[in-house]
Amino acid sequence: MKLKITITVLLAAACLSAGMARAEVLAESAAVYPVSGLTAGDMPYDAGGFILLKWAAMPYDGLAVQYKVFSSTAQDGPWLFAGSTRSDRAYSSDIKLPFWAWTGSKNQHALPVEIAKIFPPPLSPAAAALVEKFGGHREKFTGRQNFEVESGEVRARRAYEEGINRTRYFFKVAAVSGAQSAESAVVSAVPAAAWFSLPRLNNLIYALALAFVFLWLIFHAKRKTYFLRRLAGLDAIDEAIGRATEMGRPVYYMTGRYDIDKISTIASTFILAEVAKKTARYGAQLKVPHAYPMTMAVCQEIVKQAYTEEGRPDYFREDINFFLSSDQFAYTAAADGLMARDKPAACFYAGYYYSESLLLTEVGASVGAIQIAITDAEAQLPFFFTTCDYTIMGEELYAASAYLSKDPVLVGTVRGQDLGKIFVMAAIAVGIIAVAVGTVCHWSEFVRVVLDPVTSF
Amino acid sequence: MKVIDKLLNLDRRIIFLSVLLVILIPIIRPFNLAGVEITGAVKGVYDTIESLPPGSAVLVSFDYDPSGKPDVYPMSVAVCRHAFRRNLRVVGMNLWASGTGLAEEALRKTALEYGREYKKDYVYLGYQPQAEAVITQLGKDIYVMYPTDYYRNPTRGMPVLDGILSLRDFAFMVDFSNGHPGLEEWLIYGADKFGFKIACGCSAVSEPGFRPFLNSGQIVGLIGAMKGAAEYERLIGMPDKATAGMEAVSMGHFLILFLVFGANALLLVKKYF
Amino acid sequence: MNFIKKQLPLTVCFVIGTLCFAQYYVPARASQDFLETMNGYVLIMAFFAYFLGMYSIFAPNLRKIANQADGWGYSVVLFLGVGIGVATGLLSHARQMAPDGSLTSFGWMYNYMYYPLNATMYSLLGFFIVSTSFRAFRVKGGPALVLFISAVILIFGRVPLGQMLWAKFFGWTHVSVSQIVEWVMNYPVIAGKRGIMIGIALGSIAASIKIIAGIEKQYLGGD
Repeated sequence: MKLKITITVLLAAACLSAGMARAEVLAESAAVYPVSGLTAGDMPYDAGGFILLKWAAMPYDGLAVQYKVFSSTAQDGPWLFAGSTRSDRAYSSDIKLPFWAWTGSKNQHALPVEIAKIFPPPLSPAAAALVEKFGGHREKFTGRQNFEVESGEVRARRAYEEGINRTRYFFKVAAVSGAQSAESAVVSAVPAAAWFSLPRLNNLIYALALAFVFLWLIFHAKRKTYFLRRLAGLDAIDEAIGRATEMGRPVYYMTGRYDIDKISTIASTFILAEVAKKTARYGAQLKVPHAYPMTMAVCQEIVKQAYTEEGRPDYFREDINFFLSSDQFAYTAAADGLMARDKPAACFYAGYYYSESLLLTEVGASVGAIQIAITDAEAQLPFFFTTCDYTIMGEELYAASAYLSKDPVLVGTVRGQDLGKIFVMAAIAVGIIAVAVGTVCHWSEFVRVVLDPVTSF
Repeated sequence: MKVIDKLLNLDRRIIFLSVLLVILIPIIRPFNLAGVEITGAVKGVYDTIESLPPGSAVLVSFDYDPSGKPDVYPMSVAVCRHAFRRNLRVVGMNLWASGTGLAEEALRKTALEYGREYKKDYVYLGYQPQAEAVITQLGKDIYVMYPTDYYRNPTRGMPVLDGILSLRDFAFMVDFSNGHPGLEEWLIYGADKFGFKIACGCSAVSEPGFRPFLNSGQIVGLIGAMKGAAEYERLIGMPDKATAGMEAVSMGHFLILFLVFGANALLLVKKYF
Repeated sequence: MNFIKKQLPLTVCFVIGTLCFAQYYVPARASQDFLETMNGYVLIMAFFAYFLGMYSIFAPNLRKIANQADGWGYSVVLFLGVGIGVATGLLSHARQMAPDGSLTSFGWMYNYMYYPLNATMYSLLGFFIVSTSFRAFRVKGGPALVLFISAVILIFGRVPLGQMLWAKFFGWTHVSVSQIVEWVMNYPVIAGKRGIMIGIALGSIAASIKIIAGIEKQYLGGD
């Protein structure tokens, strides 16, 4: 009995080791033959310079096989190595594009190839001559020579990129396994730039729909008034400026940490216009310290116009708007010093702020000023809430100009914002239910159809 | 009752003095507290760097100024140490003019520790203005934006930049961000358009704002505040300034708790007794 | 004149705004070149605007020194600071480290003047946060209590001392405070932030459409 068991065990061990040896042989190499269905085409939705190679998934795809790509500018070569990938990778389903722009599957390989990496751009003739003159030692160039070489390279690069998109490139794919290699037929394509990014179609539809809604509401706003809920902070502007007038102390208005190219600063300047009108009306002193000269220049015009509209052009002074520093804490130190000395009766913080928010508001609180913060900087909201008398947060910054001016056209756009939010909330609710159902029922395509329009931008 | 009112309206200067004392004491006499617990967000950055094959190129953007020295600088040093230890090529740059000194210091110091050679193992490209334009151009051709590095050495042909043409060619990118421009610009103009792996290190105030990006998978990891820096130092086994600072941070946090609990207790006493 | 001050800027704003909007949907090289050109224009305008800024900061301070008005000493410090910064920067070719690794004069100024001043201003936040917390964290209702409890948990979870104490007193729950903090940071905090971010995004779109369509014209100034 013992002998039978021993023989059985030995036989089993022999079979196992033979199987493992065979498996090891398989892992080292596999029988390969040329790939089928190889096509080359322009990579879609790009600026050009990329070719997309596609071929069918092969029965021998696995760890033992690698695909190597070769490229040439001529049908017969010479061939340059263009890249490689493991045969169990680079499927068309790995390309992450939304369903309306791309259909991928595990039955097909898709590999983008960047032309500029295979055929690097040459130097312009003048640049090449200069580099040769100095034996390649660019550190010996004078500033002018460096500029010439760099400009030459930029021009050469531009011409080269335009040239790429007019040149036909040839490709072949070799399936390699150990010492075996099987090359495909040669295919060719010309890269081209796309003029529309189809993956962003959803984004375009949302943007146009929103714009249409806003413009429609603006048109209708002229004939209909919309209700705006009360924003205590904005109602308190009159009270704050009145207090400043009574006490004979200035009003400080800060436009935030960003320059005029950011929408939050632009929104802040619209509020400044309304505040300036009120300071002109009540005869209060207004001071607007700036972190950026461009913002200062724009605010200068806005304040001047506001004073003129109120019939008080004589109250306007050029030094209402002044520049301090673009450095975050240099600006904060200067503004804090000014507030500590001037002891303003009212401080307005309108715009986007970073960590200087608490430094400014604490000093404002210590001098006894009424403080109104109007900001979309959500990270700073806790600091504003605890130190300011009133805080207007998030999108209310953008609605403030409509609220203060009561212009029906501007109020109409606020309604558009509300409609946009309702759409988003409905989409989230429907999406959650749809994705939950799709996940439970293993409807992966359905889940993709639901998620792609909201995750692909 | 007068005492309670006086305590509830405690002079700020007494509070400031208390803060100074509780921060100073652990610095002068460390308590040697146990290490911080590692969180998934920080581990994401660590694991990504661990998974990179030696010789891979990592782009590090030092987007902070001296105000980030307590929390963001230690994490950038820790990540650079990790990258050099893994024999990765480190390409440094920054989008903040006032951060060049710190970026230079972080790279030079850590490279020296591991015997790494400039131009061969690491390079510092320097600062360029207009973040959106810089990132967009880097996504196409880094040599047009940086024809020379910070020290005016031509970048073309540098061994450390071998095989690098654009942002797509970097295996990984870490942005140390203390404000604007920072992670959001890198995501909008970089990762979203050109598709490369990116992680972020940031200050405490910015961390909640960047969590949605971590949650949605747009960044692979997030090192937040001095605690995140201390976690990373613990992961690489090299406790440094962040770990040392955590004791002072602990004491400061508990002072806040003490004051807040005390104020609410006094309010309760005032209300009911 | 009205054309130059009103119609022309509005037309330029509309055309450039629409082109920049369309640029996002066009991947071709021409579109990217356009964006780079626009970015370059912004940089050029910002550069020239700095001359305005320099005038704005120098002129009043010069007047202060000339008239020996209140605080004219600070104006002298301002000019000294600008002078020293520019001089050292030019002498050191804006490099903070010499090739041999030593500090240049600019580097010395950066490390021993700029950095301590910057760090000092930032460190003021620590003091202010403590005093603000003491003043503001008064539990006067249900929402304030919820905020207070979550703040306490977060404070415990963010520091080693807190983690130690939690493990000592609440270790029997088999839930570490870091796990609770991670949950709070990943779910309620992000939910709140996302809601605010969506509102801000819609507000930004509305404001942008108003500016591009010429509905908001205040930035043009007066006649």
